[in-house]
Amino acid sequence: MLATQHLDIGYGKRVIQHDLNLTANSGDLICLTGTNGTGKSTLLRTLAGLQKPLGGSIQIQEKNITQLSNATRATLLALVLTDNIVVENLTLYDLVATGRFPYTGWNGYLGQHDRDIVKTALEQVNLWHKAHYCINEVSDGEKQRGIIAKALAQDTPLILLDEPTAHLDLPNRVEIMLLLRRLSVNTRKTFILSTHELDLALQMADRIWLMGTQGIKTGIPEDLMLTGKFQEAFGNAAYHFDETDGHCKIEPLFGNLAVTIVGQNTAALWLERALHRCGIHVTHDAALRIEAHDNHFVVNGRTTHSVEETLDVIFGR
Amino acid sequence: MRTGRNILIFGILAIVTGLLFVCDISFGSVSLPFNALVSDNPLYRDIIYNFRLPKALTAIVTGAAISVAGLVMQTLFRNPLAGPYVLGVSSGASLGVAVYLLAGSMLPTALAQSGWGLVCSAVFGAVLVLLLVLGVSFRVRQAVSLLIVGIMFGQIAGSLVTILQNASNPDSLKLFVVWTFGSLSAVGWNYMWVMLPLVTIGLILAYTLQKPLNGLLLGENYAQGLGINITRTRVMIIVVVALLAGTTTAFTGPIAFIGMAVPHLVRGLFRTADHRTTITGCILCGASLMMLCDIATQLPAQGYTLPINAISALVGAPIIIWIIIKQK
Repeated sequence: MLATQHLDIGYGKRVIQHDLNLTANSGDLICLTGTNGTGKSTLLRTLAGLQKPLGGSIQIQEKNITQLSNATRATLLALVLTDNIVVENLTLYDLVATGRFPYTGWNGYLGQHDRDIVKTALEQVNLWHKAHYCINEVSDGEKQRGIIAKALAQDTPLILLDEPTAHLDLPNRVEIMLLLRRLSVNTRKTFILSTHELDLALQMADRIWLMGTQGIKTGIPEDLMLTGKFQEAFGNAAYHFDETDGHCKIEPLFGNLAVTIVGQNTAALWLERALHRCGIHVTHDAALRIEAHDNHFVVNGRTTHSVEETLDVIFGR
Repeated sequence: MRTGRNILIFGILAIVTGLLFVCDISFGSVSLPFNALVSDNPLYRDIIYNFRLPKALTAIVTGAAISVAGLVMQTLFRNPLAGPYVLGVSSGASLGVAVYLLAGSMLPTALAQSGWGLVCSAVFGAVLVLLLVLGVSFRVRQAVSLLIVGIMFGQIAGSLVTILQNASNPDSLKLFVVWTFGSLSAVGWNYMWVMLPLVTIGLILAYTLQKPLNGLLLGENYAQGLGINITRTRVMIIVVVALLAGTTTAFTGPIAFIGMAVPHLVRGLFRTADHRTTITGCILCGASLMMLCDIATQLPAQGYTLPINAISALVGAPIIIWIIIKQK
């Protein structure tokens, strides 16, 4: 569906990523991730045709997109950008209708077929009931879904999204990711999105494009985790990726205080997290032992009833 | 539902425009009897056909032209405060006229009489300032900063005009000073046949741009993603603004704030930013508001008229203040 050959990206003479050979299949949800400055936005902008590649080629459905006119390219790929859309009195319906531009005549008149597609797009993002709300009257999450509906209405095999979940709260971030996951399955379109949401990306993406300073590693999330690619790209002394669940663990260890926890329950788990957060080592053979029971702790022979109280005892407060 | 409401507003606006047109012809520094239009009195006929009719037509053409110019400029700059007057386009046109009238006394008189020379120089001046402001707008994104830059270009154009005035001979100076007083009544039939076709071409071009203009509302990246050729659209918008604002300024002198204020009234009235609606809305609203201003200039007393610029600023400036307050 999408293939790049020996693609160099960057600005002016400065090449940010060199010799990229990437492929994407239809129905794929691909998360593009990496630390700041590795060129996520540059790659998306280059794929989108908003800036020229410095070398190599990009093909969508066997067509070299750098040689296509804007109008033809707009039938192959649609965009969801970070640019804020500030237009007074623009309804969600009208916003989504702009997605039909590549197919309509000189004045943008929508035929029945176009109106059907706009309606379907709004239904796919669950916004049909708000079609006639203005974009400044709806929430940020709804506005973002509206912009995604615009991209759907553009009826392209590929949709590129630049940080679609930035500026949204957690429920909205999850909802957008679930929406994209569902759309990629139902519409067989390819979605490529850049994101900093590693947790969400690991759980949702078909493939990850992991951008580092030394090129892009691609693969399914589990393989990248197993082979330590995430640790390579993101890890440093302060944190690591937990191999058992893929979550990022911060390591704020700075003291020499060590504690041993006795017990195998939820209380023990959260006590360990609290100790970890405070920079206390948890070992098997420390002098200080804490017993974790279901509703109390025993530390130095004293019984405490909350994690906070336990910490106070450890710190001698 | 929306369409029905729009048609209703268009109908009302058209009727208002028609009524104002009749009013504008009826009221003037000389009061005419109601049946003047059909009477045989040659004096009345002369006043109506050679003075009031062209003046009312000029009001319609000018109002429509500068309002549409303001609308497309606001979309191009993505700035609610853009307009031909505030961004210095009118000053650029004035500079063109000044150069033409003051420095160009050696031009053949035929060119000077027909009005074409005047128009060409005004359009040229307008394009010059537009290109400068557009160039700056790539670097300055903030609405108010761009506005200040536009005002500065206007000031520079104004200073150049003053310098020219100092250096020119009394005859051409008088010509120019009369032009700067400029009013709607300065356009006779001979000028009308220059102004009307140029403005019509400008308006038709604006209509052909409605789809790219709608795309530009979302920002340039999105517009490009929708398959719109940005460079061509930008050039076309400049041509449209130069034709509309340059031509009308050449004949009526700079008219303040109408071009900036009317698009806001129209967007509020129709509750849409869709250019398929707002271009026509701006033509009708701009024409009406301009005729209203013209009628207001006749109000004070018999035989005495106020300058049109004073009235248009009285109407337009408060609207600008309201927009800035609303933006906060």
